Formats: sequence, C-alpha cells, structure tokens
Amino acid sequence: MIVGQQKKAEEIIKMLGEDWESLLIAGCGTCVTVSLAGGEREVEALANLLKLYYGKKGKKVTISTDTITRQCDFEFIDDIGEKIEDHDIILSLACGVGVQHIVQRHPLKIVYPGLNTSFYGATTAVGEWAERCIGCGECVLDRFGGVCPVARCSKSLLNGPCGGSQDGKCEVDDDIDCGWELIYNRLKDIGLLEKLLVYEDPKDWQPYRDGGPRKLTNKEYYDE
Amino acid sequence: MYDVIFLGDSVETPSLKQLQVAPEAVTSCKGKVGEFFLRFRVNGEVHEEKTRAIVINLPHQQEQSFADLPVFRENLEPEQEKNLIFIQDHEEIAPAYVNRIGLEKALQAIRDNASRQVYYFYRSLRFTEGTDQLYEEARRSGVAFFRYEEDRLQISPPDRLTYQRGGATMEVEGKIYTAPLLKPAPELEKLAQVLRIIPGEEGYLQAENVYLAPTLTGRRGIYAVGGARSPNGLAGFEEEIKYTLEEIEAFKFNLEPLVEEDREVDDRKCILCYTCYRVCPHAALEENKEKDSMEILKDACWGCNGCISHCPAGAISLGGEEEEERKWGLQVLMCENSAETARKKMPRENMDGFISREIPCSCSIKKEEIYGSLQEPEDRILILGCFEESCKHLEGDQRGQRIVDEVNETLASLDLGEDRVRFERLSPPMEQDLANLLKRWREGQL
Amino acid sequence: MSRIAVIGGGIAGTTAAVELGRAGNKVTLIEKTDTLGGNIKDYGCKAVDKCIKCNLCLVDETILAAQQSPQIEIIYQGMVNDLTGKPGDYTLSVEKDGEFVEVENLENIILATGFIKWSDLETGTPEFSDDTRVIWASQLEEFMRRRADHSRPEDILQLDSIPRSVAFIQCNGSRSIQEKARYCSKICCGYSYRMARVLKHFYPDLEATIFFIDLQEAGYFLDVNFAELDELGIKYVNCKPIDVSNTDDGLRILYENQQEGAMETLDVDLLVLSEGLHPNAANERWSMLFNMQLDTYGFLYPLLDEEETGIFLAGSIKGPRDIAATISDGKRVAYRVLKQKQLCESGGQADV
Repeated sequence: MIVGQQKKAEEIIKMLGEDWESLLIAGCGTCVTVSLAGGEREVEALANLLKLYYGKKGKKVTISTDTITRQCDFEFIDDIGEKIEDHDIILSLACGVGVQHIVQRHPLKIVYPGLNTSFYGATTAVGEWAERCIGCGECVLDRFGGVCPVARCSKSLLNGPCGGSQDGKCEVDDDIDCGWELIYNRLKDIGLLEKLLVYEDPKDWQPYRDGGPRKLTNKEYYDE
Repeated sequence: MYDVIFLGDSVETPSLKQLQVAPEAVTSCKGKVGEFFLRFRVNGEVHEEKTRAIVINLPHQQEQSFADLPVFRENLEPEQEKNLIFIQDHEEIAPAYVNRIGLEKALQAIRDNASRQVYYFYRSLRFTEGTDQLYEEARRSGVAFFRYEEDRLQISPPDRLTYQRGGATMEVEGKIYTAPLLKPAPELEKLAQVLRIIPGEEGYLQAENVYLAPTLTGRRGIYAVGGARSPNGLAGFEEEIKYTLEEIEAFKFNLEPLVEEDREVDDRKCILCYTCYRVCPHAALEENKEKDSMEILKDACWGCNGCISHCPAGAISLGGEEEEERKWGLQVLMCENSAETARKKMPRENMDGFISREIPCSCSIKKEEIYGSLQEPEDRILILGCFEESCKHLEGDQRGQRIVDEVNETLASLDLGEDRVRFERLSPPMEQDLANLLKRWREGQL
Repeated sequence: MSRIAVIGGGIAGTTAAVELGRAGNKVTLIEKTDTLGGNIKDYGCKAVDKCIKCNLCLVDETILAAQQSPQIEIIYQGMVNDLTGKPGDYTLSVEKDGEFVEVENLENIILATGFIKWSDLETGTPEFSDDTRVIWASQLEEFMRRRADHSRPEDILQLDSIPRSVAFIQCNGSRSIQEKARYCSKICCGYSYRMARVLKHFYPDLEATIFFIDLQEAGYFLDVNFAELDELGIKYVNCKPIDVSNTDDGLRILYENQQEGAMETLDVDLLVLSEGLHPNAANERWSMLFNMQLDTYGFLYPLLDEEETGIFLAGSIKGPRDIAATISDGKRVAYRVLKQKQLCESGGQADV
C-alpha cells in the first residue's frame, strides 16, 4: 500500500494562505486510511484543529469534511463533485495520485496536498510502516530470496553489499537493516546461496522513472 | 470441545476435559474465552480444536549462575561421599521456589550421610509455604547455614570457597552446587505472538498487572502459570493452578461478558485495516469473513474503547451512544478504573465548576474530540488516567499519554496554548489527591 | 430461594460476595462494623511515578460493586451469634442493634473474618509507644491519605520537624517464639519497601534504612530484592535491632553488624515498626460454632470437607496473605461454591 504522513499543521496553514473562506478537507478511504494519515478520523481531527486555529485568529471560515473510498478513481470523486465545486480550496489527505486526480476532474479548483506521500510499504507494527518496493518496473525478487536489493539496499546494489555494512546495519543509518545482509541470511536459510554466484547485469532503469512518466494498459480491457 | 488445553505441562483435573499440546506446535488461536479455536501442527498435519480456556504451563529456563559449577534442581541426586556446599543468591536473590529446592537438597544430603558437612550460603531466605519448616529441619539435622554479603564470598571452582565474616575468614571444601537463575521459557516469545498476548517484563506472559492477578494474561481465558508467568511464578504454584482451574470450571456454567454495552463495527465503514486488531490489548477483535468486516468478540472485550478511538475509518461505536451535547469550560475526563472511583468517594462540591465525564480508559480519548472541545479560549481539558503498570487495559495509559503529547505538541506549534490539555495519573484510593489536583489545575498551578 | 451468607466484609468476603452475586445468587454479607473493607479500607495507594502493585485499586472497585449489587444484602454492625440447621439449610442468628435477626435458608456460608494487626494486640505494644517518633507501619497510612498535602509531613505525622532519616524494623509480631508467631506474615517486607519508596519519592534527601531478618517475596507480583533497594538508595541491614533508646539527636538504634561482628548504632528521626498479622480472637469461637480446627497459632482450617459441610473459609482467616492473594482466594472460594451448587442442581453429574 501507499504510505503517507500528514504534513505538519503549520505547513498546511501556510499553504492555505489567507485568501479563502471555505475549505473542504477530503480524506481517502484506502491506503492512507490504513497508514493512519488521511482517513475519516484524521480528516475530522485536522478540521477541528483548523477551526480552533482560525477561530483564535478571528478569521471567519467554513471547513467541511468528507472521506471517499478512493481518490484515485473519478467515480468516487464524483460522489462529492458538487461539494468540491462549492468550496474555495480542497485539501486532499490522499496520496499525490488522489490530489492530482481531483485536479484533473476539477480543472479550475485549487487543490492542496495535506500529506507527504512517502513510499510503498507494509505495516511492520501498529503505527509503523517500512518501505519494501520502489516500483522499479522490473521485479528481481526471484534472484534474491524474496528480499529486494533495489528497495532495501540504500544504494540499490545488485552484486553484493558495499563496504559500509556493519553488524547487519547500513552505513547510511543505524536504524536501517543492511538489505544485503538480509538477502544473504535468507538465501542461506533456504539453502540457495549459490544464486548469489550469478553476476547481475547493470539494471535497466528504463521501466522505472528514467523512461519518463509511466503508463500501463491491459489489452483485454483497454480499447486502443 | 475441551474445557482446557495445556500448552506445556498438563495438570491432572478429573472434572475438566483436557488436552495437552506442545507450545511450539501452535500456529494460531482464534476465538474467545469459552470458545477458542486453537490450531496446531503435529507431524505435518494441521489440527484445530475447540477449547474453553488455555493454560500455558512451561518450566523456567534454568541457567547456571556460576560458570563451571552445577546447579541444584528438583531431580538432582546430591553426590554421596563428599562435603557439599550450596550457594544461593550469588548473582541475584533466588526466588522462593529455588530457595525451597536448595533447602530440600541440603536436607536430603545430610540425611543421606550425616557424617559429612553440608554448608548452605545465602543472602536472603524466602519463607513462603513450608520453606520455614524446611529450614528449621535442615538446621536441626546439621546443615550449617551462613549468610554472606555480596563481596564476602570467594568461590574457587571446582570445590573451594572462602567466606569472610567480621575479622574471621573461613575456608571450606566440598562439591559446590549453585542456585539456578530462572529465565522465561524460550517458547514464550513465539507464544505471545501467536496467542496475541502482551508480554510483561523479561518476556513472561503476564504483564504483572493487578487486574491479571494471579494468573490471567491480557487475553481473557488464557492463563500463564509457573515459568510462563513470572520469575517468582513457582512460589505459590499450587495455589495458582488451583485458582486457575477453578475459574475455568466456573466458565462452564457461568461465563458472563465483562462489559454490558455493545460495541459495534459498522461493516459498511470497516476497511479491514486491522488497526483495531493490533491496538486491542485483549485480543477481542477478529475478522468476520462473511460480513467482510472486523467484529468484536463480546466475551473477550474488557471495554476500554481503544478500538473506537483508534479506528481510522470511524467504523466502531458504542451501541446506543448518543452524540453528546457540546460543553465548554473546564472539562475533566476521568478513567472509570481510577479517578472516577476516587470521585465517587469525594465530596460533591469539589466537582463544582467542572464538566466531568467518565471514560472507560484514557486510551479512549480522541484527538479530534479534544480539538473540538477547545474551541473557546477558556476551554481546558484534564485527562485523568491510571498509573503506569496498573492500567486495566495494560497499555491504555501510555496510549492516552501519547495522544495528549501529540495534541500538545501540535497546539504549541500553532501558538494555541501550551497547557490546555493535561494528562495526570491517579488511583482509586486517591480522592484527596483528586480534590487537590482539581483545585490546582483550576488555578493553573499544576 | 436459598441464600449464601458471607461473614466478614473485608476484601476476601466482599470479593466472594460480589462473584457469587454476579453469578445470580442471593447473598447476605454480614459485617460487624458500619463499612466494608475491613483492615484494608484505611490503606492508601502506594504508587509514586508508577504503580508498585499494592493491589489497592481493586479493593474500591469491589466494595462499590458489593454496595451496588441488587443481589447482595449487607447487614452492617451485625455480629454472628449462633448457627443452627444442617448442611444445605443453615440458619444464622445475627445480633444487630441489640436485636437478633435470623438469616435463613442458607445453602452455604463463607467465613472470612480476616486477621488482626500485631499492634492491635495488647502484647504488641512496645514500651516506648508514647514517643511520637516511633510509629506502627499502619500509622503511615495517615500520611498516605493526606499525601496531597505532603509538603507538611511533620504535621501529618505529628512530629516536631521534617524527618531527615527513617528506619523500618521488620518482623515485629512475626517469626518470633516470644511473639507467638513463628510464621512469616508475608506482607510486611513488601509494605515497608513500598512505604520507603513513597517516602523517598517525596523527600529524596531522607535517609531510609530497613532492618530485616530476610527479604520475602512479597506476593504474586512484587519481588523485593537488594539490587532494587540499592537503586532507590534505601539502605538495608540484615538483623533485628537489639535496643532503641532516646538521645538528644533522636532515636538511637543499637544493632549488630553481623558482617563485621560488631555492635553499631544508627540515629534516626523516625522509626517505623512493621506489624505482623495475627489470628482474630473470634477464631476460637468460630472453631466451635462452625466445626473448624485452630492451628498452632490460632488461624483456622477446615476439619471436614468444605464442599460437604457447605461452610468455607476465605482469606487471611486461614493465615497471612497479601491483598492479591486474598482477592484470589475470595474468588476461588466463590468458584468452589458455584461448582458445588451446580453439582447439586445437576444431580451430581460433574460434566455439564
């Protein structure tokens, strides 16, 4: 899932500026609800906090809230289409995809992001997420025992660790597990260490961002 | 349906239908007290059995307290001909159980052979059930007891020891046995995970919380005894196990929910994010595949409302709960397990001028509600939770504290006041403290 | 409908009554004073920065539950006078306000009249009892109750000034042949440890010393050990002092430093004496009335199978135990009563 983190209230207030009277805070009910950053509860909390802030400032504002199932599909956005039109500013608590999708559907509206979209990750503990994939477009997990060197090695090395790995930790930060140590231990545990003897060619980064913004079609569904 | 499944050693109970399962075989445990579904794998085959209750009964891991020296334990046969030296409390004070084993072995040794010397060195004897008589008997039978200070005993393995007391020094020789150090059984870490039990200190399966006395874990219907419960888990083992089995027996004809109210998950709003499942300290939530929604198991619920306040989709609510009318001013939210009990014992007039509300646990506060309740300049909120380690919901006080910390940090960053929301801890017998606290808070003197 | 009588509204009796009430039984709780809680009700929470598991929080909850339960009838200031009838149908005669009340149709009776403190025994009073600087451990409870105004401890404890030092002497009224109590009272080590901790919390400069014979494992939870005491800056001396005398500087404690084999003295401003638990004087009468046996020290144990007679013992009437163990025992007895009732109703079939 996409993991996001709510922007600091200070930053949001600065972003909103002075020139508005009505604000719609729009939550997203999928990934960012699960990553506890942009679901119904976060939307309510932010709305009440902003009301408190503008109330103290003496600025008269209307703040509304709504949370839809997914902001990355027009059909859901359309559920609150009128509401979007009726407000000066839309603050989307979805990932960057959701923000842009509202913009695309409502080309004349001002839409701001309330989150920093962080990474694709998994829940590792309640309230904790960790990056597991960068969406490189060409999966290599088969050769590395199911541990991704691209996402989990700070340097995305494909042919073994750098010299900075120490006690299983990455030289970039002690909190980061060395991805290569994980790969090695995993392959050792399942008796497939010989996989590492195969030299990996330099990765083709074209399917990733280096080929420009990506687009996908499914031939079965998509009518060219 | 079994009445009890023992993970680890079983205890004979004629009136309970029981099964014994190796702890390492357990793969999952769904359901609730009265009807657990325990899955385990034996010889590659997966079994699922229903049981009313589960008792985890594993021996401690016994470690040597002194390298190269044997430890005394229940099945030890003390060496025959030699003088014997027993040492306890060398690394840490031995719990009563170890104390008893040591005394038993020393007594056995002197009875086996009265002509030899049996020395017993200790820092503190633990006199619980029967140990005092053992000590008396051992002393009368000729075991020589010596109390030592930490730095006054020099052990030279394998069989020499120097003991200092006052100006005198004594040297003794004999086969040395030392007290074992008791550590949690190695299986406990995985069991905590599989059974969804919040472990206590050192990884024992009971969080040493007063509400769990004597043997309950945070998950109703699952009990930890002996080496699964605590370092001193064996001191009152007999009593613990009797209590546990009698409570399980009582479930057969009297299993009432601990809470009256219904907490409901709205299956249209639930997105199966499992936050409630992870937050619940009592493992009272489970996925209902048919409804495609999480579900609260009422018999397992202790009523903290942590799931309600933490659900990111706002899908869980207290059945029949009505929107409370907005109230302004000095608002006091009191945990029903501590401050609220104290309030009931306090003169009524101490509450004059405060708007108070009973909450089931401080973890049930919602930041959105706090912001919503601070809209007027004179609005302030005091949240009264329980002392650390006495929270009925194990971690509820810490969750409450974290919510308040986050709220305060945000409020401060926006210049909305430094001290408008306050978290304090109380206990039920502290009605005078409560009165004093309220007075000082009102005057802004906390 | 048959009832269950619980004699004694201390924590054991109240816990049993609440459990039985919850399971749908009619209970009559007979308490000799006008409040529930027994010995425990005067004790205060010992938490400082965190809970140290004195278990008192459970007591209030249980008392409130008993008072609010529609299933439980409480007879305050009631003294049990006589027992008649036979197993399955007992009648208790209870004296209340000079009159006798009959509590009839009793299927079970739970006897839970607890203990008395060493200080409540006449023999327990030390010679220097009129010195305000020497107090019983339970007297510290006044301080606990008023800890909210802890800035004036000398007023609370009625001393001339804030104490700079305090000593606790353990095993008073326990583990002594002279004091007719060779047993360990089980609660005092934990109590003094907790109190020393509380005092150190409020007065970090206070010098606290504990004299003890041995450190006991205090209950299900708390494990007092030397390392813990060291960490808290509480000194400990392994011995029972020989003498206490008055000096200009305070109280002088004479004791043997066993390690050095020498006599030493310690001057303190405040001396706290632990109190062992002793059997209630009523136990002798109970033994005859309810056909129970007195042990060497005067605690009770059943002569016949409790399930047969329907008369159960609960809590510290059987011997010293701490709050957690007493609560557990109260519950246990309730479970046993419930099981017995179930068996009777199902005609002796164990498996339901």
